[in-house]
Amino acid sequence: MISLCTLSSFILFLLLACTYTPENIEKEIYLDKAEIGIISQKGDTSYALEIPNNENFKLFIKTSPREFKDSLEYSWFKKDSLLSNKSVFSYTHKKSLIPDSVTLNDKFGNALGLSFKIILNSPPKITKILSPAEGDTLIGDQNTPFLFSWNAFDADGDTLQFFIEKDSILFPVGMWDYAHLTHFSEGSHKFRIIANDLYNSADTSLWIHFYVKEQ
Amino acid sequence: MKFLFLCLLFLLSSCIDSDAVLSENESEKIKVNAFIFNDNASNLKDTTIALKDTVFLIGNILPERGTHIQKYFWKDPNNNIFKEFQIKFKPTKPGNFVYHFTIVDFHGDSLSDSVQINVSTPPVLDSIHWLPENNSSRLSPDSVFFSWNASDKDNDNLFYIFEIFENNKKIIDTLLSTTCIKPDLKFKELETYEWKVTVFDSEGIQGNTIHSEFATGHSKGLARLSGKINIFPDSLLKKVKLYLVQNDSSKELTLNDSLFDTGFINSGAYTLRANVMTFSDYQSHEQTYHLKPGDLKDNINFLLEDNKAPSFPTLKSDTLPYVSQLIFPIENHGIQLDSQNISLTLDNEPLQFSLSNDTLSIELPKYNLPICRFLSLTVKDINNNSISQTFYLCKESAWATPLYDTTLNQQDTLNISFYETNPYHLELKDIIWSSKENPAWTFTQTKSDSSITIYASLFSVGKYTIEALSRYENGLELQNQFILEVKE
Repeated sequence: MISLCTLSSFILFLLLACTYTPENIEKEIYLDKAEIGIISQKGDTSYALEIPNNENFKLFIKTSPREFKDSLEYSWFKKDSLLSNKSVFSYTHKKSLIPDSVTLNDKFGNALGLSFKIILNSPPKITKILSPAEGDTLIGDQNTPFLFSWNAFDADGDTLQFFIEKDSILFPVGMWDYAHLTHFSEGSHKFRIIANDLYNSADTSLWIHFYVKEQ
Repeated sequence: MKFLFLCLLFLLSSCIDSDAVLSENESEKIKVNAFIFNDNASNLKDTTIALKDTVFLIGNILPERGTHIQKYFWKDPNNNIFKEFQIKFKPTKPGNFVYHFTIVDFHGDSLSDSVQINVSTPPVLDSIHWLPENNSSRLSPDSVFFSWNASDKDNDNLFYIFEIFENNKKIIDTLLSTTCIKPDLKFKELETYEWKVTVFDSEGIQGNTIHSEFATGHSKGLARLSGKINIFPDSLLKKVKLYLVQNDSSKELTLNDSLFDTGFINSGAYTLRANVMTFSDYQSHEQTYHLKPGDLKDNINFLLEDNKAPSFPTLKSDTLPYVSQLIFPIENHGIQLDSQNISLTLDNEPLQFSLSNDTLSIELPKYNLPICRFLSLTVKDINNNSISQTFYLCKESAWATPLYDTTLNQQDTLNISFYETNPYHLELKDIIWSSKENPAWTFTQTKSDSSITIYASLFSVGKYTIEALSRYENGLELQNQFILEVKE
């Protein structure tokens, strides 16, 4: 014969066993992602590690989850030389050293290394509009292909992509520094050139005004 | 009591659901599969398709028979339910979407599988702006190139099928990864050409096609030369003068950094000539081009190098007197020499020197033995052109009267003469006499004065270092010194 007390205790045990939910188990959280970002002199943030040459910039690490950000130790390196232990690396262009890797250490001694390359990009420069010159009069009609040509260079040697804006219409020119355009009505017109480098740094020439006169 | 037993049974049955079709053990036997059925009749778990392509999703259960399923359904990313094993639809927007296929048994337990569909947006060609403009005419056959714009919302790499037709016959059909091309093709004069471009993304999703046509005119006969001047170091670029020469006329071209460009010029024979001002060790370079109509030479590289080695002063003998200081000019008409590129040894031991304006100043240690010593000198310029020579330094004096330390009374004089033709065949220009302790006593002796008289009365009582700096026609300078002690 089971006593009422023993049976009640057994039922209580079963109830507890079926309804128990574990509490206070520390969740293991891992650093999912760490990404190098760049803050330009103007304060713009980008994750494309390209910055205009001769400008100051700052490097930072975006961590996911975000809560890791303040609990990590940072070591910025150039090859094997330690440059800084700050979470944000500041570069002033008078100093020649730019880090190429960063190591993140947590309080348990785990380390994550990230290698990267900062590209100091010189923007392209349109140096001269060869033809037509400002104020030129071009003789022809709607079917006459007029030659537009210019000089440009890029200090980094990037292949440049050009656009020519004829009045308010933008035409792609590709890598050539000249183009023949047609369909000009008699009267005043203007054009300008836009040069883009591989990193979308651009230079835009001034508008050149010219006049088309029919024969 | 009965009540307590019923409670106990109820609790046990809640904890152990032994009749569930998809209980733990059962689900090991039953498999549910979701897949995408494509045109190649293959089953995929994920795929990339174009917007508005038809998608066919299939869900199945294994084993097919004997499974007690209460319901089955597909659920789309918006949680819409489709109570079908197979569904067919056309995505209406781009993006990555996961579809779940789920089965549920009579006890509410479920198994599920999913597929992912990546809906790519087709790339788009700008259908208005390209070059040559549609219906352009009279284009010079020499200068036709093609350029267009394209974009892709998925930021895929884009590819293009580029075709040109002449009289409906395809003459170019090529796959490109760039948005421009200057075909390696000679266009005919006064001919009409059609061309078209079709864009694809990296998943092979096809975008639109642009069609255009243009007509050539007569060849304008224009040509162009452009390229780069290469010179080391770069700082010398500002010393480079570049000329475009045709017949008797010459035009200086402006350098943009290191780049030059003649712009469009008429066909004919042209010579590009580059000189480096001031630095004559850099040889001028010239190249002649016979330009035909349409020749666009845009990769010209001019290399300007210092290819002339430095040289030493011309000596009739390789023997020099052993003096206290040797001033040794090096002839070099390139970038100034660097002391790191100069090696100097005396009897094979390194010897200190200083260098200023390509002239070596060599202090020779005191040495009284009558044996000649070897002075070896190697000089390299910035372009590694080098010269080496060994000179013999002998104690034999260049002077008829040897310069010894001398003591004079104040009323005495000392007469010193030199060889008109000295043993070393050095042609004397002049001698500068000086004494640091008596700066007022400095004068220049010319070649016509074959001797000098030192009057002790010009000096107060004391010791003086008398220096004689002999300067020779070949630039060499030799410094001798002796101690003059003047007594009362």
